[in-house]
Amino acid sequence: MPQSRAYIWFVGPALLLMFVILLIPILIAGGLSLTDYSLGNSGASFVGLENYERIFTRSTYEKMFGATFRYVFVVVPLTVGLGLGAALLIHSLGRFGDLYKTIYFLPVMAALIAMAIVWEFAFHPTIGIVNATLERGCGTVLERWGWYAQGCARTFPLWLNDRDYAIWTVSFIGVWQGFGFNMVLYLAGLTSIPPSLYDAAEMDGAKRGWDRFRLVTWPLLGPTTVFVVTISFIRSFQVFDMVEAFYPQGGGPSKSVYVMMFAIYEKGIQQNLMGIGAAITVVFLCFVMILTLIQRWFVERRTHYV
Amino acid sequence: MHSAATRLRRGALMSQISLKSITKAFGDTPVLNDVSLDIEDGEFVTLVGPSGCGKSTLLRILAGLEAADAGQVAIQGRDVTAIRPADRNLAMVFQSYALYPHLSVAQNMMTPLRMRDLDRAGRLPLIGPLIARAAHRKMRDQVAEVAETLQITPLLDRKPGQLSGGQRQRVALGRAMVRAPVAFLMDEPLSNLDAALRVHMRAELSELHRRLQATFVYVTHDQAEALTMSDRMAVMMHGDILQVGPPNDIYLNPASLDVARFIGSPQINTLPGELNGAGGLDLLGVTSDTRYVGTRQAVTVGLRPEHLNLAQQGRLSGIVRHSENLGADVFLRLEVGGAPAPVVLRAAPADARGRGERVAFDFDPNDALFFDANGARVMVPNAAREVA
Amino acid sequence: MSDAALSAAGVDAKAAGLRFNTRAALTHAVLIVGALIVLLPFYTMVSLSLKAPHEIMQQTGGFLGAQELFRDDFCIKLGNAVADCMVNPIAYNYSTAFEKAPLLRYLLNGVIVTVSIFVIQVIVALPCAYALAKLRFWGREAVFALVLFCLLIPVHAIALPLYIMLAKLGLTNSYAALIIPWTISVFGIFLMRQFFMTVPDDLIDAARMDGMSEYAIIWQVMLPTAIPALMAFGIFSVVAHWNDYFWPRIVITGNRDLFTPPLGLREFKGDADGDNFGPMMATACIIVTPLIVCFLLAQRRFIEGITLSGMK
Repeated sequence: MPQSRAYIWFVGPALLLMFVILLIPILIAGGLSLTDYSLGNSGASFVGLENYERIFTRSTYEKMFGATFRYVFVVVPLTVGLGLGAALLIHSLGRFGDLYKTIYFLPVMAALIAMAIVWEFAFHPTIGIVNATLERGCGTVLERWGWYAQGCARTFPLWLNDRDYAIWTVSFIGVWQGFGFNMVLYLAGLTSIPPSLYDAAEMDGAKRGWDRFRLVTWPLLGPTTVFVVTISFIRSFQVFDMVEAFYPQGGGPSKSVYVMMFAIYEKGIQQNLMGIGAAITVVFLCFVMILTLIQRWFVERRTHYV
Repeated sequence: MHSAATRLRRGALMSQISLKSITKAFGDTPVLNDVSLDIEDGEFVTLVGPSGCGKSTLLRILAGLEAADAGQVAIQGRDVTAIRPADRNLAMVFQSYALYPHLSVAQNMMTPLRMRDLDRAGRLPLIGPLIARAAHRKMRDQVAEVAETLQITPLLDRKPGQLSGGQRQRVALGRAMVRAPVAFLMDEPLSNLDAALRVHMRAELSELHRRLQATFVYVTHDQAEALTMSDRMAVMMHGDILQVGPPNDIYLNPASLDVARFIGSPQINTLPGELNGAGGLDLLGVTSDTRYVGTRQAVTVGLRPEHLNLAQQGRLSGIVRHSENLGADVFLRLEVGGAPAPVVLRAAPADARGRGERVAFDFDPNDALFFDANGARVMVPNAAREVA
Repeated sequence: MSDAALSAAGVDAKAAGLRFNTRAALTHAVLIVGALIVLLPFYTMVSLSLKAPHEIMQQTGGFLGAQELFRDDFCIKLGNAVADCMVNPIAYNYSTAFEKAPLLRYLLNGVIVTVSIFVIQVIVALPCAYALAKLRFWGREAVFALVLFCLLIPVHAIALPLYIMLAKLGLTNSYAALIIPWTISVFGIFLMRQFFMTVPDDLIDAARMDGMSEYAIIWQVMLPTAIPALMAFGIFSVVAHWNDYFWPRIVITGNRDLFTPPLGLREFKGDADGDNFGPMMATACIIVTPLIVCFLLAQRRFIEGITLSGMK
């Protein structure tokens, strides 16, 4: 290959932008996190690890971690599981599955902010369709269920405005929006499994669907699963749209939905406390990077097939 | 090795396989037309034919991986047409080997045993081996034995991705052998290997067959494999079995022009000729005087390259258009007046000729095969030889 | 659970024909229930955008709403006669949507922003990917390692420092602010590099011998071969940025004219009191529809795109 100077022009812009837009901001965040800077101030004073101390001790931030982890550890398993389940079902239908594939992928295409607002309406305690449907079940056999009976007697939960239900409702919407994406990835993974392996499994005596799943499907979906899980983690960590749309101030009833991205936004932009905002940013970045690195390591080690 | 062979033999008593009137179409395309075949215990039977002739489909129907539209499959006298593959006690070696990439060689070979001999509890990932200790030990011994036979013991802990093509092929064989099935089904197992390895594996497979004395049903498009390995071969084309018989029979006594053309390399020469009703054969302007019985009829004459000889006084002549020197043999492609296609002739390397040379050659009419206008074989009695 | 090979074999089908059909029926049943849940918000959104306020409040009217004229109270407040203020729900909802906020302007902004981002991304990423894939130069491995590292950084995560940088440059509330952070797509570089590595070197050598400059090679030789990958990447990029809410929310604070569609919807919601569900849903419909329509028209490409980006 000839030595050409052209490469400088090719790589240069990208390199420059990488530094300016991706790398330097990390350093800035790191630096700011050790100060009490606010935008508009002429200077900032060094406060050491005070911001981090606050994050890891104050109860507000405890709620932040709580909300974030609750969301992530509900949304990730469910989107991965539902994505896999939907993919398996649709795959088994062959060509007839295309319609379902389209339908299940629609939420991924639709702007989350728009759909969130619609869901908010659906979950409205009085005029929303969810509670309306639940109420129709009153007076039937469903009332045997304690929770249901209570709802009929008093009112059904307020969902998004209910301290006990808000985070789970938001998680539900997140799952609704995200599983279609994983489904598509799993479908691609499924089609790449050589059919002769299923033939071999049958000849070897794997008669039940579960046997075939454990022997062929699940192991060969290994790389896909690793990717899907990582992507799901990263996407769910970044949840923001819904939270800001539903709870412009405060992060939910009793801060139960006070997720990290929202905290960054609130502290950094709304309250102009750049120091703390930067500190949360740094912690957030660490989580994301560590997760991705774990995925990389996993891929290298466990899924080293043909 | 001893007990494996014995086990196989015991399980293979009455290993008669019978395919009756198998018909199959994929959509509107017919693939198998009322095909029947019986396979005896311990035989090495090859289904051979060009791509698309239906041989793989027939094998898969025998395995149970496809269902025939009509017809019956019977194994050891039992009608298994409606029985799923896993219950037919057959083992299959796939063209792509289909080894589980995430399992080691040993685990690959243990899979059929695990599926068959262990219950749910025994199959659990970590505690299974602890629960069914005796069963696991027995299985490991069986695997070790087969590995020894195939000489893959050093590979037992490796994954398929780390093996060469030939090694993978042996593992696939091992996975099949470990179950001591009623019969081994093989779907073009050598076609993914390079030429030299293929020749080597042909001998190994034949040897294995001899040792195990098990029934092998083998599918290939390579007529050389069929000729060298089979006890009997079935030549298939366009969904029909054209001829079944020992390789020698098929080679020397093809039942039709299609069979004669497909078997034998280089391809048989086919030339238009005529039996002149007076006992002679008119071919390429030359009349051979023999005592053929029968009336005058136009025939297609088949002469294999080895039946044509360079001869100073040869009655026929042609111009060398191309010469293929394979070392032990030389094949000359001749342009011969009256012949619609180049005539291929086998010569000794010492007699090699160059392009453009005119050569004289001849043939023994008793080597000629006759076919009618439809390609069917015509048996012409030769009064001079008492041979049909 | 799923193996087309066996269901096609139909061995089960012959042996127990009923069982095969039951399994498919069950599968369909489960998938249909799922589809209903998935489609619920879409149904609600479209339906409410067609209904009059009282129908919304009382949850009547089926899917299409009764489509009776209703009384527009705001119009009355403005001093018009009652008779002049009877409006058809659909007309009211959609016209209010376009009146209350310059929706067309927002849609235009969406187009400007997503197209600009994608074009710049390609201009930046393609040459870099080519250099990494096909040229040898000192530091190539280091640059690629840097690309891999940057893949770990979600841009949203570093929003704060980026915002400060832009604020210091006085670029907040501008198209530049909306576009600049996204101009570098390490993902695009990675994807294109993987793709370029599969292009035979011979093709490039032939072009060089024909006298093409490296620059020309990129745009005239590599680009055409990379169209599928580019389309995949394009879809990925357009969808992500059309629907992006977080970054515009941070960066556009005062100037309504620069709102992207998600911001427009949010603004609507912000002002909304109970009466404005109809127009709000209409706005949501308008914002969501372009991408959905594109998706429905080019499904295969979309899904190919997502999978390509996944199956590195």
